[in-house]
Formats: sequence, C-alpha cells, structure tokens
Amino acid sequence: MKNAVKEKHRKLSTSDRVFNAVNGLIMLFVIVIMLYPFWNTIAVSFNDAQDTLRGGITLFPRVFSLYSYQSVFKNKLMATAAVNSVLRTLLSTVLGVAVSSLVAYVLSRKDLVGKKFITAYFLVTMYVSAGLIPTYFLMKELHLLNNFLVYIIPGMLGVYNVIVIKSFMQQLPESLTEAAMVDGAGYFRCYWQIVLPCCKPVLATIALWCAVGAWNQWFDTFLYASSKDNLTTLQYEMMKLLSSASQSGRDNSSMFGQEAQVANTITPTSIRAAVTIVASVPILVVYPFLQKYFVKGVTLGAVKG
Amino acid sequence: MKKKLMAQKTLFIMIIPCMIYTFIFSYYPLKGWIMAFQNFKPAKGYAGSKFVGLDQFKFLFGDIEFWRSMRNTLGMSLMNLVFGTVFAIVFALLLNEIRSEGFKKVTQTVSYLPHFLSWIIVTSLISNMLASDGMVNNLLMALHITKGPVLFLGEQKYFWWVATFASIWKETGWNSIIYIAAIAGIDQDMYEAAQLDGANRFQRMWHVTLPGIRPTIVVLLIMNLGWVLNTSFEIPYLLGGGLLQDVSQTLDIFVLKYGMNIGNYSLATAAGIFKSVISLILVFGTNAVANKLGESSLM
Amino acid sequence: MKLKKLLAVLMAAGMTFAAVGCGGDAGAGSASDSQSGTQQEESTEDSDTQASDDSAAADGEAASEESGADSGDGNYGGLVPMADAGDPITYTYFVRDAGQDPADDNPVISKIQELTGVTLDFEFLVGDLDQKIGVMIAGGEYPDLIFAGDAAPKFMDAGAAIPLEDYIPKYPNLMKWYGPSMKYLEQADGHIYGLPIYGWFTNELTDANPIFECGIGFYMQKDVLAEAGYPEVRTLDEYFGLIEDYMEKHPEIDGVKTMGFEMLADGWRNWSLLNPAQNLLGVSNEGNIFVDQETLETSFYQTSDTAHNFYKKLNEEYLKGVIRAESLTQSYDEYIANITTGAVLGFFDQNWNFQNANNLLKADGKFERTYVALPITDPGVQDGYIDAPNGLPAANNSVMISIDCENPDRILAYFDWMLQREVQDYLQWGEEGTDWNYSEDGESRALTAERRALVQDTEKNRDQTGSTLANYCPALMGLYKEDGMPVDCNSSAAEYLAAQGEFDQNFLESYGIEYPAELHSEPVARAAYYPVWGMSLEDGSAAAVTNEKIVDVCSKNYSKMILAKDEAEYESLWEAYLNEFNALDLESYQTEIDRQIAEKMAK
Repeated sequence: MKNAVKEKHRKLSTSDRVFNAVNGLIMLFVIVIMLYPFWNTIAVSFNDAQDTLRGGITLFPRVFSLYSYQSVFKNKLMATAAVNSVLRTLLSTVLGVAVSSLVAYVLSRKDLVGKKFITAYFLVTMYVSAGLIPTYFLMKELHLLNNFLVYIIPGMLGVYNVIVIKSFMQQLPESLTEAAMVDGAGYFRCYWQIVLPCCKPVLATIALWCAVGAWNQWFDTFLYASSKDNLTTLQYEMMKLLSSASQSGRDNSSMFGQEAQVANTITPTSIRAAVTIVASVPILVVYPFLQKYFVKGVTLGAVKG
Repeated sequence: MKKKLMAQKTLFIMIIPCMIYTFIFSYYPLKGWIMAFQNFKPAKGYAGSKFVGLDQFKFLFGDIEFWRSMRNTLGMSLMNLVFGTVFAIVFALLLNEIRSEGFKKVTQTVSYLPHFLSWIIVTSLISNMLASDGMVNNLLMALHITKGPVLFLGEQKYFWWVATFASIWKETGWNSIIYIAAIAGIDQDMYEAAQLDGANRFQRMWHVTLPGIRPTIVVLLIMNLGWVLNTSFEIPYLLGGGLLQDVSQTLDIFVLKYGMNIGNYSLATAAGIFKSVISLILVFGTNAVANKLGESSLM
Repeated sequence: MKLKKLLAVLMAAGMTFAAVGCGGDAGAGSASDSQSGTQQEESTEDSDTQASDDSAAADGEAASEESGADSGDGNYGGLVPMADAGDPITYTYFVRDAGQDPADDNPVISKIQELTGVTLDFEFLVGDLDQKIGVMIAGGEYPDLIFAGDAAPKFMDAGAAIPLEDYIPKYPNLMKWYGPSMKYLEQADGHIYGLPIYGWFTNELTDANPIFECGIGFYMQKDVLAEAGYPEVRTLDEYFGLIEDYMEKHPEIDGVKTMGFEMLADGWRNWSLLNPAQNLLGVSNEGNIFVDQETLETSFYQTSDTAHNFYKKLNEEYLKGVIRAESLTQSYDEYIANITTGAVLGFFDQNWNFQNANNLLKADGKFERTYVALPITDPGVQDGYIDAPNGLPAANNSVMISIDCENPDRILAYFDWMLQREVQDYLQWGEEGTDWNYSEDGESRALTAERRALVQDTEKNRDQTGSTLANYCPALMGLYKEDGMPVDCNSSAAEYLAAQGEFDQNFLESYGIEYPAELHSEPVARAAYYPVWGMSLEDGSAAAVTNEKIVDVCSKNYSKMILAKDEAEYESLWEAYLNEFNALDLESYQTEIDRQIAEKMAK
C-alpha cells in the first residue's frame, strides 16, 4: 500500500514540478505588481517634495530628502495620537473578537430557540444605517462625545464578522461538542474550551480585520472627538497634516514673491506618501504575527481524539 | 419548549446583552429616518422641520441621472463582486499550493500591502500607467496589439473595466485572507485520503479545497450582494467625472452632489432607505434561494 | 456649495490678496514677564521712528505712550499689556480651512498671548466641511468663535451666532474699521453676526493696494510673447495663432514634445473647462450665470454664441494637435508635472492652482518658461478679469461669536486691541531692523532677506510669525491712508518688484509696464451685488439643485464637444447639449439670483 502511494507520487512528480514552476512564476508576478505601489510610495516619500511635482518617480527617489518625514514627526500631538491609536486598536480587537465569536457561537447552535429571528435581527443591521446626524445624536445622548469610549463601544459588534465566524463554526463536526455536552460541559465551556480553539484561523482573520479597521479609522475622531487634543488619533493627525499640506498650495499662491526660494514648501504628494508609510507600517507588522494561524491548517483529528 | 428554553439559559444570557446593544446602536437611531419625509434642517431638528411627504423620493426617482447612477453602480459592483471574488479565491488556492513556507509568507504579506494605500495614491499610479506614454500603452504597442496609444481614461467603454481592475489590484490580497483562513480550517485528513485515492494536485484542489471553502464563499457572496449599491466612492470620483460622467457617476456620488453638498440631509436619508430596502430584499432573497439549493446560508 | 467655497478662495488668493500675513519674528524670543518692560521700550522706539516719518500719526502715538489702559479712543498704547492680561482666558475657534496649529513656541503668538491674556485654541478642518457643520448645528454645541466662510449663513440661520451690532460701537477700533460698512453686514433679520476678516475691504482707514498680477485667465508662456516681439494679444485667434506659430518652430522644448494648450478637468478643478466663456464676455469670475453689468439682466453664458464659438475653437485646436485629447482626462498631478517641463505654451487657469509648477520653473532658472495672464475676450469686448476693490465687505467671510461663548466682551476687546496700528505692524511686518527696514527715502519698507525666506516657507511662516492670527482675526488690509504704507508685505509694491528676476524685469520693460496686471484694462469696479458665486442658495432648494446640475451637464458635454471628430459632429453635439441644458430647471435658479441681485442693489 505504502509503496503504491510512493509510486504514484513519483509518477506525478513531472506534472507536479511543472505546476510548481508555473505557480512560482505566477506568484513572483503577483509579488512584483503588488509590491510596486507600496515601493513607489516609499520612493516618493523620500523624494524632495518640490521635485515630486515633476512626476515620473518610479522605484527610487530622484532627489533624496527626509523633509516630508520631518514634517510628519514635528507634530506635537504625535505621541498622544500614537498612544490613542494603539490603545483603541488593542481594545477594539480584543473586544471585537470576543463579542463577535460569542454571538457567532450562540447563533451556530442548531437547536437555539428562535434562531431564525435572532439571526435576522442581527443581519438586518448590516444593511440599515441611520445616517450621519441621527448617529451623532445617539453618541450625544450616550455621552460618548469627546470620550475615549466612542472609539471602542460603537464598533464592538460587527455582524459581518459574526456571520463569518458562525459559518466557520457550523462546519466543525457536531460530534466535537456533542461529546462534551454529554460529559456535562455547559454551553460556555464548550464555547471556550472546544469551539474557540478550533476556530483559530478564522479568529485570526477577524482579529486582523478589527485591528486594521480600528487603526485606519479617523472619521469618528473627526465627528465625535475633534475638539479634544488628548483624544486625537494617528490617522486623524495624518489627515490633518495632509489636508493642511494640500491647502498650503493655496496659501503660497498669495505670495507674489515667486523667486527661487521655495525649496522647503511642502506639497501634498510627498507628504501623502510619507503619511501613508508612517500610518501603515505599525499595523502592517501585525500580519506576520497572525500568519502562523493560516499557514498550517488545524488538524481536527487531534481535537477529536 | 419551556424546557428547551431553560436548557438554553446560558445561551440567552450570552446573547441578550448583545441584542440590547444592537438595539441601541442600530435600531434606535433609525428614528432618524423620519428625516426622509421632511425637509430637514439641522438647526430645527426632527420636531421643527417641515414634513414634505414623499417629495424626496419623488426627486430621486424622477431624475434620469438617478437611474443612470443606479445602472453604473450595479454594473461596477457586480463586476467587482464577481471578478474580485474569483481573483481572491484563485489567489488563495494557488498560494496554498506553494510548498516553501518562507515564499508563501512573503507572497501573502506583499499581496496585502496595496490595501493600506489610499485610493488617491492607487488611482494616480493607475492613471500614470494608462497614460498614452504609460506602461500599458507602451506594452500594447511594443507587442503590436494596438497601433496607437489607447485612451483608456478618455473613453466610456473602458471605464468599468478600469475600475474593476483597480479594485482587484488593490484588494485581491486583502480579500483572499479569509479564504486562506478557510483553507487552513479544512481537515488535513481529507487531503491524505484524497492522495490515497490517487488524486492529483488539480483534483485535490477541485474535490477537497474548493468544497471545503465553499460555505465561506457562498456566505460572503450573499452578504456582499447586499452591498451592491454601495460602491467605492473614490474610483469614480478620482478617475471618472467629466467626459466619463455618464458611466462613472454612482449612486453615492449622486447623493453626495444633491444631498450633502447642498445641505439636503433628507435626500441622503431617503436614498439610504431606498438602498436598505433593496439590500434586504437581495440578501434575504438570495439566502432563501441558497437554502433551497441546500447551500450553506446566513441563517 | 463646494464650488462656491472654492471660488471664494480663488478670488481671495488669485488676486494676490493677502492671505498670508507677515507677522512678527523669530528673533523676538519667547515672551516672559521680565521681557515685557523691554518690549514696551521697543515699541516706544518704534512709534518714535514712525512719528518722525509721519506727523499725522504722531499725535495719536504720543498719547499712546502714557499707559497700557484703554483710553477710550481705541488706543491701548500699542504693544503693551491689556488691563486684564493677568487673567488668562482661552477661546476655542473653529476654522473652515484645513491647517495646522502654529508651534507652541511661536514667538509672536506667545507675545500677543502674554500682552492680552487671550489664547485662541484653533480647530482646523479635517475632512468634509458640510458634514462637520451638519453635526455641529444638529448637536447645538459650538466653539466660542467660528469662521465658516460661505457656510456662515447656516450658523446664522441656526441662531448659533450672537448679534454684534450693539457691541461694535463700544469698541473704537472695531467701529473705525467696520462702522462705515455696517449696513452691508446686516443680514435679512437686521442683525450683524460677524466681523469680516478678509475680502475687498477698505474705507477711510486704508486704501486699496495696487493689483500686481491678474490671478485668472488665459495664461501664456512668456517666451512665446518674447519671441513674437511682445505683441498685444486680445482675442482667441491671436492667442492660438501665437501658440501655433511657436509650436511649429519649436516642436520640442528641452527634449519634451511641445504641448500647445493644456486643459484641466479633474474633479472640482474644472474651471478651465467651464469658466472661459464668461471671461470672453468681459466679466470676471462671476458664477453660473452672466450678469450684464449695465442693466443687471441675467442670462446663461453657457449657451451663448460666445460659448459655442469658444468650444468650437478648442475643437479646431484639438484637431490641429494643439490640444491633446488626454489633457481633458489628466489628473491634477499630471497637469502640474507637464507644466514643470516648460513645454506647455498656454492654459486657462487660476494663479494659485499652478503656482507650485511656476515656482519650480523658477527654481530651475527657466524664467522665460513662466506664465503671464492675458486679457483675452471676444473681439471688441473690453476685458474685465480684474475686480477693483469696491469697499464692500463680504458678510460671510466673518468671524462669528457663538452663543456658547461665555465672555464675548473680552474677545471683542482683544480684537479691538489687535487693530491698533502698532499691533498690526508687529503682526504683519514684524520688527524693524530684524524683519524689515525703511527704504532710503523712508517711503517704503523692505523685508530683510531672512524674513523673505521665512514668509515664503509655509511651515516657518506659521510657526514663527503671527500669520495665523493675522489670517483669522480682524486685520487691516491695503495701504494706510495716513502715510500710504502697506498694511502687510503682500500689499507692498516695493516687495513685489524686489521679487522679480532679470527676465521678468526685461519682460515688463519691453511691454512698458510696471506690473503684469497692466496688460489688462483698469480693474473694474463691481456693482454692490457682486459676485453671484458669493450668494447663498437655500439648502436643498430647486435653485441649489440647478446650480449643481449646470456644472454636471456642462463639464460632460464640453469635453465631448472639444473632442468632436469634425465640424458636423461638433454641431450635432452642440445641439444635444443645448437640449440637455435647456431641459434643466433654469428658471428657479435665475429667479433666485435675480431676486438676490435686486435685494443687494437696493441697499
């Protein structure tokens, strides 16, 4: 038997090799085209801001300059902003994963009383939105304006995430939990000790979604917390810098002294690139840590056994 | 029934707080929908604003631009949904076949980088590449596929494709993460069994991997279908307009122009209600179909 | 709304009016109690110098040396502490512009803070203004001070601003500055809700400064004019004729294929597509309607013969290869990159929009590749690109004091204090010796080289001078009536000329003019209603909808017409466009504009 498998293996190996080669080439191509925009952004961010206006920067800066980064880091609120962003990202991720997986677990129970209604109840909220002003009123009523909790509480339960986790849980063999229930484990213990460990890949995905979403958010700062400097977030500061840089073109225009002394004027393109790099690198680092949950699949056999 | 309820006490203790939370944050503010039937002025509030009945809806449905925007939105969204999903799945499948762990990790990480760039950066790269002296035209001309440069951004017929491939470029890596996770969730024993049956690489992909992630695919498709009326704002805004307006203006841009930009919150709300209704019909409709077909579904 | 907001900025900036002040100076050091005595001495010295130069001002300033207290005539004694300076107070201030806070150690702002006890805590706009205002008004909570530009009426309608007509007369400097124009600041309900902080605004305190450059119009590369022997260019045919000749002689410029005439229609930067027809008719940047300056009758220039002929001309130029098809779809970045090559011969634009490219050409030493605006009109029509200051303030461009502000008197006293000439000089010019010097004849001032470099650098200007305060608090503008001295460096002819390079000096000499603006006719004094874009349309009204639709219909159709294959196609596209345009609800818009013109003219 074993020999037969081995032989088959050997027979297939030519086509396997071709497949691997082609696949490797495709992936190399993907790497090149997916890396280019980011690489280009880095090159632009290190290029002299004025010179960037000429266009045509591709892989390397033409006139190297750290000026754009200096104007990013000069901001006196950077430290506060970074702390707030990290905090909100951590809290949103932990709470997001916990709450969503809990709801998902309940909804994945086949015999749940009123399951259809409860699922629909959550599902509907994905497609209805009260709009800007009513939501603002709500935050005001709940005293969440100019309050750090406005970054955490409103986005705690993502229904999309719930459904994704739920569908993953439903694929787990029922025997997995049945045995435990027979042994007298309650619902919560089942959730915590049996179901959750099997869901690592999907939980890692949701964690990534929550983290990236929370990190990239600036709109809530803009609407609900913009008048408090100590609640500012990194993305908001970056937006602020970017919009003021875009406007500086206008300010300058009123200067008639259009002599050659313009070297240090900021222009948006390079600033935008630097802002993008500064704002995205910290969150990019998260992925490799989560990757180990994707690379190798779970072996249910181990759990079952 | 009562007994069952008692047995599921823990489940309800778990879910009821979440339902209350959802009520507060999602259902309660919907009272603001009253705005759609008013000529809402922020200064006057719900109570002080004048009721205008269905005027806002009449304005929407009576405008040919609105229907043109609907067509564009649906067209671009569906193309995006179909191609976006296909590319993400294919990418996830191919990635899964890479043997070298290091290469796999690098490819995966690189592929999701574009997600972190803003649309304004991506669209400016795209318009550079599609310029008459840009990379794409140079390539087409070098290969003698076209004689002269093609005005990709100057002709209506190309716009939807440009928009679709822009999204694919930016989001394929990001969208594939969930499929990669789903693949990781497939029981490894299944592969061994298939191998014993003599299945080759393609057969294993087709008979083990794809069926394994099929529930995820179906569920995501149904959920995303509900959002077909919400297209990305940025692509049409940054690459379209002017000459391309007839094919690039989406519902959201229409609402921005005639709602927010001229302080008409009521119109924006009316459009929101319209979108919600369509979304719910689509989602619950397809969900029912999926149920009938025995596919996995949302409920 | 968007368009209007933008136009407002364009007007202000395009006309090279002062938006950037030239305030104090880095050398002033950080303010501290121990220094205020010295400062007082310095300011006295300042006054002395000025007094010797100008006897008219001497009397007032002599009185100012006595004390720092309010003497009742608005003279607080210049840069000396206000009576309640020891009692610090902070006002929050929402500004509709994007921007950044000046550095904490900004020497000028710190000093003003110390002398007045007043701190302004700015919140600059990030994101969308309409959304921000929507929630602010709906929520009913306001910062102490608001500068909302064209969105000001929203706050006024919401009852967010306190009426100021009873306050203004209590403050002598505010009264001197705003008093004569009070009736133009009145809203429909008879109240005054704001103090204008920029716009064309002069009265007996100041005169208008000369206009150096025309900020909008058909620009042409200076070398095209130089090579043609500095001709007078007034019509489209002459304009494009010169471009074609030059293109033929120079198919390439510095290795780049010559681009005859570039267009830009990227999102809201669409004026090169939409606006020219009204300029050809002899008005400036009016709005979406043409107003006959004699009869004040309105009509739609978009469908006039002038428009028909203009886009037809562009179509011809496109067919000749002078206009590239791509220029209609290019992004702003690409447009700027093209201009920086020096290979673009002409375009229709507004000064500020391509300023960065112009600066870069100068940095490269390609002065002959920079641009000048020309007075292109229909044959026989007098050009009207440049607005003359009409002495009327724009009520919308005002700082408003909100109903949530607890102490309106203190901030008004602060504004009153700021309007003293000594404070204005300090804010907008800096200190004599370190920042600027008198010319030999004592009739003008020149910035020092360091100071010039400072005010041209956006960040340094913000962090080291008083520009933020000068921009967002009531400030004087133009030239002082008493001695003709410019209020700020942007109004200074001497500063303008000092900034011109050799090529530009030759260029001006060859045309026999002092400033480029003299290529144009005299600035046109506008009627009191002017301009249409400054009028606010009721949110969500039919007129507001039409205003948006006009832009949509025009930008779409004009592009198609320019790219028509031949004359026949052009004409059929024009017909189709006429049908689409005339199908709009034009009447609601026109009636509303007529109504507002009549209302404003009645004052």
